[in-house]
Amino acid sequence: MRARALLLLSIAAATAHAQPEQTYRADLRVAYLKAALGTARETPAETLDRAYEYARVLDRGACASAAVRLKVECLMTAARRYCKNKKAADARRCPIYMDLAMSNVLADKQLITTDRRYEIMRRYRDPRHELAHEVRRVQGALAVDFRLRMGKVGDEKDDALAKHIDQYCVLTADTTSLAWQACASSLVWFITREQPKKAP
Amino acid sequence: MIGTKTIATLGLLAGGFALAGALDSLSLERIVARGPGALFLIGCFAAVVGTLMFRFWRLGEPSGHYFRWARDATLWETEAQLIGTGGWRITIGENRHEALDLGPRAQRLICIAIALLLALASIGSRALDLLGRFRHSVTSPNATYCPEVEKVDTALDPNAPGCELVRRAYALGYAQSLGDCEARTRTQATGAPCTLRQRDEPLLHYSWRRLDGFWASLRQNMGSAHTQKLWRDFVARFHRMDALRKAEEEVLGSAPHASHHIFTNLPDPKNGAFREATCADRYRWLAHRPPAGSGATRASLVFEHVVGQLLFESRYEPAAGYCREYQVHWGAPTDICQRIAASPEATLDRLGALPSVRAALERYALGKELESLAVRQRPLGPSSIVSFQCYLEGEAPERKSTDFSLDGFRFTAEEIHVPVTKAGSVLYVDRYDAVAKLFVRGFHYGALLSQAGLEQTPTAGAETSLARHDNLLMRLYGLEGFDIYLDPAWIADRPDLLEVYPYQIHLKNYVQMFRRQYRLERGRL
Repeated sequence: MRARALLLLSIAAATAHAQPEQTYRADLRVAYLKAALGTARETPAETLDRAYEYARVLDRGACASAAVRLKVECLMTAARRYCKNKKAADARRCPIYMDLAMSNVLADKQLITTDRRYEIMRRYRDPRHELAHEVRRVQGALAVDFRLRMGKVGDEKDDALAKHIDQYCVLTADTTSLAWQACASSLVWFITREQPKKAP
Repeated sequence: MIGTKTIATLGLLAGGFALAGALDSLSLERIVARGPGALFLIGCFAAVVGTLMFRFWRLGEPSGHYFRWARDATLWETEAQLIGTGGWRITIGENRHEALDLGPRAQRLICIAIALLLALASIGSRALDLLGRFRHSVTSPNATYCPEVEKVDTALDPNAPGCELVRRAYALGYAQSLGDCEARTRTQATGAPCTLRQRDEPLLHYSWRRLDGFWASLRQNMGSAHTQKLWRDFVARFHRMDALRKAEEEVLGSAPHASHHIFTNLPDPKNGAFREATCADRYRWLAHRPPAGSGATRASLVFEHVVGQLLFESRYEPAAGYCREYQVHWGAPTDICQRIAASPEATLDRLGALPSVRAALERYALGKELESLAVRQRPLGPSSIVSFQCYLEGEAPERKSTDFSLDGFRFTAEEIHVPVTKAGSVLYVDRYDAVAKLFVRGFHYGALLSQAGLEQTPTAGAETSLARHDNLLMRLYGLEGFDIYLDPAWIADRPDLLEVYPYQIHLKNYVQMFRRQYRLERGRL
């Protein structure tokens, strides 16, 4: 009897191993976005700016690579190191806001086309500032489209907002040719950064 | 007895109608084809020119003379014989208000009608375009001057990355030649010579140059060689008048430029798929993934989506064909390609495909006939503009090509058999592959064609990485290195990843690669 039970358990374990875990199921995506919204709201703007700047420097410097997977692995390792020495509260939030910041840096390529980027580089004396401005403009346009399509969502209710962002990014991946992760991180970043922080 | 002015205007009106009839200017298709701008111009032209004719020819006043058909032998006091003899002659006389004349309103209407017919025969959308360009060239301040020569700034040449270094190396003697950079510099510097007035050219010199040019071209155009050439062209066109008329009819009637037929044993989804009137709008934009469905028409919907995406969707680049020239024949028997090869005419006629095939072939033959008149058509053979493909689901995979003849031309019926899609499948990569291979013989989407390139190495590491719960956003960028159209591998078992997969990168590339090869084999005249 015991042997049969053990056999059944081992079969179940083997089957569970054979079926890969669906980490990007809709409910898990929404839960992650909710956490990202909460973290971005709680984290001071200067901390987010520093994280973004750090990600940008890595993207152009130590982690620069033509192979996307290599670059992503490098950025994740760098993010882990960055968060290692943070203090208690920040250490909890750090992995999520670093993921958000790095995803936004990687999304830049999709938000600004090569032609537009080249035009900015040629036309302006301070192209870096102009590129940042352009990214913000595109993110703003995306946020307006999100509002128009999904209707007004109570911004305090991160549950509903995360669900709407996920739905919007899945549904409009066809029309905007923007990857889900680029769309989601841009929206979370823009909505939380542009909203005035609540008084403590 | 009828006034000369009335005779003249009625004669001009009849002449106008005859001219318009000969040029087919009054047919509805031609009038509609001119467009609203040209029609407005024609209306204005008729109103203004008709009124001017009426005023300057004094058609509001009675005629000064009349014509009379005299059957008696005696002439009247104020008239003279014009033509004819004996009892059948026409006389002309001085009108003393006794001759029949049309009233001023009728005369004005006739004048406007004459001007309208003249305008219809001579003003088209091209004339409107020329008038617009003329106005632009007259009003533009720099129209008569050559543009300023742009300084070639090779240092800022956007098309020559690295050229600055190469030029520096060349200047210092480290390089033997400028290589590609030299060619680019030359391309930038050279251009067609400008024959307009130079900025520093005196007016007298410019005038003399224009006069000299005019005289040279006049001498050339008045020469016997030129006249003979014109005569030869005229005779050649005159002898091919029927062919020219037919070619014009084909243009006006929107005759097909190609005729491609796809036969499938899948049932008609009855959703308006590939309908001639709506297909252009229907396939302009499609979702990245075929619709998830179930039931008897699921395979048909997937097939429609794949064909639409490969041939017609214009999101990423211009469509590879005009959907009105593609006919999908649903519910065909599984041996349809053999039947076509055995008796093409009867089979195609029974399926309703023969008229469009013949129309395309007729257009091709007409183009060949008119080639001698320098009316060039695209250099495509009959097998490029007319094709037959059979897509059959439900059997073991097989690819066949059967040759046959129709109307003296050689064609090939391409046939592919594919197994039925597994129930519950959400990824239809094998359908894309089958349809692409059906349209392009030997099509192969390999690692070197993929955007993922040589990075495409599906490893257990990546699979494990995308099964973790942290860095959900960043990890997804790694998917850009996996081309599911190359090999879906483990991603096929992850419906959650398929939902957020970057189709815009790899599907776009797949479609572009397919169309690049498809255009080498098929096209439209």
